[in-house]
Amino acid sequence: MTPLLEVRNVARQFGHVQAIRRANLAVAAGQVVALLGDNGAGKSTLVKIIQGYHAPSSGTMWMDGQPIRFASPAEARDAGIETVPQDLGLVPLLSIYRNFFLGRELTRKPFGFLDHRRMRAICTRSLAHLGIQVRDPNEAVGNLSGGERQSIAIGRAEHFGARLVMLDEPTSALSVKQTRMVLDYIVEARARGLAILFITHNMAHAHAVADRITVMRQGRTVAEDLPGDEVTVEEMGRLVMGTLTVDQLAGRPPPAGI
Amino acid sequence: MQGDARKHFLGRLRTYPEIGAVTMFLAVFGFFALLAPNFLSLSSLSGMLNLASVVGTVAIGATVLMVAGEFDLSVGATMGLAAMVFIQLSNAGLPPVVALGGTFVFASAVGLLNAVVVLRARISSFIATLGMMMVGRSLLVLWTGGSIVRLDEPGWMAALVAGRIHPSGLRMMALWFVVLIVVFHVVMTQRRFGNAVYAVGGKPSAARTMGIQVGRVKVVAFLITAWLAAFAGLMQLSRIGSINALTGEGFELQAIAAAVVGGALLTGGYGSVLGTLFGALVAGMVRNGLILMGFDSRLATGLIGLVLIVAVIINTSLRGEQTS
Repeated sequence: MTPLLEVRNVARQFGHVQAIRRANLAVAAGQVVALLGDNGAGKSTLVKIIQGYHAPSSGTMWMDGQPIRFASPAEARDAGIETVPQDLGLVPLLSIYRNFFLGRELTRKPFGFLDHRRMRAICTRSLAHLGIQVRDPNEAVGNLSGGERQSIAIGRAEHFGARLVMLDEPTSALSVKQTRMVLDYIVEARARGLAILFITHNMAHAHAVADRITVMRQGRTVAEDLPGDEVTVEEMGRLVMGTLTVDQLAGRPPPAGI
Repeated sequence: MQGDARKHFLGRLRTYPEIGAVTMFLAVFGFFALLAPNFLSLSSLSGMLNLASVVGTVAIGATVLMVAGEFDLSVGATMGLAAMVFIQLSNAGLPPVVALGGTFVFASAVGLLNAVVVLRARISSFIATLGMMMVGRSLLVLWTGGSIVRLDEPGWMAALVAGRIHPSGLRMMALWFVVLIVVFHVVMTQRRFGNAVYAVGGKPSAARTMGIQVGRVKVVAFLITAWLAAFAGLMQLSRIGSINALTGEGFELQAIAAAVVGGALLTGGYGSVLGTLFGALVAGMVRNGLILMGFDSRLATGLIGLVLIVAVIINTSLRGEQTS
């Protein structure tokens, strides 16, 4: 199966700083790939490259098997790549439906006035369709729980045609219950055929939902496409810290009894 | 469940920033209607509207800019300078339309300058425009030579901006003010630009993520503020027929006060042009009402200050309920 997005040997430097030395990554539709790595491992830079904020200094990216090069985040978005950043791209003081359509507001002809009624209706319907119940689309986003906000940000990306959603540390500031909610939501989105890149340094959360695991360390992809259910949380942690290599992982004796 | 309903109700109130201003408006209106003789007479109401119009026009700009997350303390100086530009062009014999055009070119330059200093140098707009205010005011003092400068021929332009339109003393400026309130209310609530202004002031990083040109939105907000200040300067000039070195002084803070009474947050992302209308009207009522009651008119500023504090307490307590 051709992956939806593939990244091969991508490097990027800023002046003398080598932010990424060699990054490899592949995500398919209907798949959750966890991108693990410690702070400074190059995860964020890689995401920014995929998003079109930075161009790679070298290396290639493909989408549906076609080489791609995004000149701006808008181009990446048009191609179906949406990012849910840590601030979620949500404005707390604005209502749910205004956030939903932020920057893409619906207007009425001929004067271009905002079509509030249609935006409210579509927002409520679309979120409900994605399994997110909102009490009232007029409610301020700041009034919602962290998990609800996260779901709305993902739902918005999906509504606007995202095929790949990159979640930047979606669970880092959430309570256990809220985290559960977001992880469940990721599983549901995957079932609908969305490709999800789940950037995190929480191994347990990665382990809970990821089909595949890719690990970055010091600007390099040190492990790619490991099956999520064959790597333990502890092994993930050691891969991130560099006390375990993929070769060691592959050379391990099979579990007793097989 | 009841708690949920209450939370829900307050959550919706949050999307109506005018609540505090409307409450204060009704309270102050009721107070003077009962206690100030002739408060409800046409001439008193007209006087109040005229008074509210100049500050209110500046306050519309202050509101838009505050929602965008910035301040402009130079608007008072801009009022005086813009009026001075109009006088000079007009007294030089240029037709009123040209003088008007020149005035707005000047205002645009001021707005752009403010925006560039704030956005390029990345310094707080409070500080940047405080500096601009001092520069502008001292230029006006030098330019006027400290004395009164008259408009030689007020002509139809003055009549159009501030002429009497009713025997009660109601002036054109009140009409302009209402028109501007409607226009900017529509811009802020029914246009994509308005939505962008709220987003830019509420959370710039999120606005940027969603593809909004944060800098461009702020530049336009600074321009709008300067244009409205210039227009308010013309209102003042057209009504009185002259300016002096102090024209517009203090309006920057009165405008911010009206915007804040109207629900605008100093931290940006929240506010309402309709609320500002009520904020400006409350200030006008206090000034007018105190005079009618026979008090020293200099009490007014103090009382407006108290109104400001009470209104903000109302606004904050409504919002505070749901910050979790």
